[in-house]
Amino acid sequence: MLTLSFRKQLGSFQLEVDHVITEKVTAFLGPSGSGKSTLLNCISGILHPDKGEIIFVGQTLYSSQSKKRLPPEKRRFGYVFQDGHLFPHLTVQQNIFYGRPRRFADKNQIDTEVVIDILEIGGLMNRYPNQLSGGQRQRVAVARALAIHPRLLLMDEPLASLDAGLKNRILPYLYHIKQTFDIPILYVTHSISEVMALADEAFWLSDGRITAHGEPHELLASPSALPIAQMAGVENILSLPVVASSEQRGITELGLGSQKLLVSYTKIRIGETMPIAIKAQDIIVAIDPNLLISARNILRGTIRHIAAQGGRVMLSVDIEGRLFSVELTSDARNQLALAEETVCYFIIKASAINLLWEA
Amino acid sequence: MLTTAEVDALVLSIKAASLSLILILPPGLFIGWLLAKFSFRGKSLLNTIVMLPMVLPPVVSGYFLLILFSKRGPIGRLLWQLLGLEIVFSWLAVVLAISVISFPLLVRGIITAMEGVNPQLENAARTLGARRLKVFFTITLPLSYRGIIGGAILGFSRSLGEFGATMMVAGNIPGKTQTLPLAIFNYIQIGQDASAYRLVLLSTVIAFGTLWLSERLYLKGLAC
Repeated sequence: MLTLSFRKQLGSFQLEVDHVITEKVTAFLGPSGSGKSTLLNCISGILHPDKGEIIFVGQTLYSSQSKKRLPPEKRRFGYVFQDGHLFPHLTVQQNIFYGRPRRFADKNQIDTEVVIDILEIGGLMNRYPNQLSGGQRQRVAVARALAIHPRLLLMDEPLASLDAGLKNRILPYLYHIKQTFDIPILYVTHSISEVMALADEAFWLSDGRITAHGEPHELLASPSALPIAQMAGVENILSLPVVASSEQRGITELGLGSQKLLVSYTKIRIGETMPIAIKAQDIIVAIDPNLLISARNILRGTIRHIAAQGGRVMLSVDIEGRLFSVELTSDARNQLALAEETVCYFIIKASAINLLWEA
Repeated sequence: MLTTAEVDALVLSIKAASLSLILILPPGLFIGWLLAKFSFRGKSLLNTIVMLPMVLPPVVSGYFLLILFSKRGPIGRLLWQLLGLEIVFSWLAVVLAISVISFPLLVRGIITAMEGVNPQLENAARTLGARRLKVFFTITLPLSYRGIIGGAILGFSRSLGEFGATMMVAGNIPGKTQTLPLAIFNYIQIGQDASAYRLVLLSTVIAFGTLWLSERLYLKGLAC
């Protein structure tokens, strides 16, 4: 779909990539200064590489050989910047419709009204950017990028400027966008939980090169690929259907295959899905399921990968076909004699499950 | 209060400065935009040429204009043959002289104002499908107009005070090419001190007012 094979020198920093992007949502992960933004800028046309080529579904966007440089305004790639970059002198409405194409060359795949609905910004249309909160601003930026009916959506750390609580509230919107619209997304971040929540494939960028790539959980499971320091604060983010709910008991049940996950009561109706976040270090591992404990959730699963580094261990666990990340100390791992393909039990307190959707 | 001759000088100064501003604003915006937002070969050369009159003694700039625009000069001859127009020592020469002298000040102001517009906003507009010219009119200009107006006011007041170049290329003909500063010079030479003082006061008030206004606009421009 997107062939990236180019080199770009910026001062003493050099970005060099040679990869083909095929998945719907691709994440570029890496520390700051690793070249993530430069990469997106080259794809969007804001910057041009020094040498090589960029091809998007058969169309050459850049080629040093044939001296082709398609300007950004002709690419129709939606770009969501880290700080939103809304036009300060225009209202939300004018911002969103700034780039709306007059005629639709190909099938109109996005209804802007639906986007505004999903992002819940309909009530903000007459405000100016300086009258919006950080989270609202980013949602408007997403809507503005989608309103041009982009062929590709580029997102440069769209949540980085938001605090942790807000981040978790915006993430479901992005997840919803991914599910609703058929647009490939390139997502740049340094947050592993965002990658886990959204991406189908992840690339690890370090010092201007791609040093590892793969399905996010696989990538996370190989310590050689990812510096384990980056895994701090990994969250499992997933959407599960509500199967039962009782206000009296104060509990809502979410379905996870044949097992159930109990969370604190929420008004979301049965049958709808609820996005949740569980921190990797909030999951407890047990060999014996017949423990008398107060925690309500004991899930059965299989360890698929074990990654260890510096006294910490990250397990990649298969529960009902879904992969979870579980973090523990290597001491605990040794005591339990955990190995790959071990079947064990995972204990999660209901209060450790963060509900991301506010009813 | 003011004599007819004094009023004449004032009116001529304001008329010439206004016409000059109208004439140099479009090229000033274009060149300011080029210098603020693009990198290209010969950029520093262009910048130097545009800024030259700011550091050159105005008398020297005026001398060059006299050479170029006199009936025997390369541009002057052309204007004479094609349009029957003789610029030197006419009030158009005043406009010409103050345009050349105030142009760098105007362009400086425009560059500063436009450089203050976050290039990422312009990039964002381009990714939304806007061509360069649309970006200029819908993003760059609306976000920098206060600074541009400030630069224009500064250029305008510099025009009102122009002396050396005007003297060289337009002369000092009362009622025709005698601007405010030239009139002041004249009155002092011939000992009409009362007239000179009135015009000195007038000039100071105008200069103070315009400078203060442009400063305010500049600060407001920074705030948004």
